[in-house]
Amino acid sequence: MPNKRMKIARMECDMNQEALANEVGVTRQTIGLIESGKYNPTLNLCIAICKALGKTLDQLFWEE
Amino acid sequence: MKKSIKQDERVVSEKRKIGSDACQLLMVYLIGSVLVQQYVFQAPFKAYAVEFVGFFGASLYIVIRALMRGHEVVPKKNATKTAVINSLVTGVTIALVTVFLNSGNATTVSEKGGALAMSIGISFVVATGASFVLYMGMNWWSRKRQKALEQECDQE
Repeated sequence: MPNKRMKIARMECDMNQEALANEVGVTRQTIGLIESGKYNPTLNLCIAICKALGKTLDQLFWEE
Repeated sequence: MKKSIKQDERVVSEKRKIGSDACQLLMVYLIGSVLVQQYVFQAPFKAYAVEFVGFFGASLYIVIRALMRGHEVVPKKNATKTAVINSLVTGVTIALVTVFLNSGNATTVSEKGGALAMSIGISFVVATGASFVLYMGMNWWSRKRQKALEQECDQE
């Protein structure tokens, strides 16, 4: 399932995929795959993304 | 907290998957090569010794590493039942292989029948017994290692 909340949070921070990827230490493709729901990131990467975007794990990754 | 891209976890995971697949293909190739040389070409052991050692060495390495890490090599549930079934399958397989290898050695029909029955019986009993001891030994080691790891985790 695509992670739209992460994409919206990234856009709110005025970051493109490349910038977020550099911030958390992965490739742009990995960020793209997470946003499109085709890659399941580790908890460490989820936390790094949350810190970079100023959000909590619940806000970005918890599915109701 | 800017990080440089040293090891992307997805890339690392994909590299591992590729390596693992390549290893599996190599193992299939090695055992295939051993079986073809042994049974089809009837080559002497010297001809396929490298593949033989490579395959069984790698298999042993995988099992020992898995046991050391506390992985469940033998399933916890119905461990004895699984060991008995696996041992019987191993016994039957080895008995069939023995039949295949020795069927051409005897000269007369009665000698052939007697020798075959004897070799089937002995191979089956020895292979089944040895496999059962091996499976139970692995089971015991696996449990022991898992308990040790659990204790280590509890202490931390």
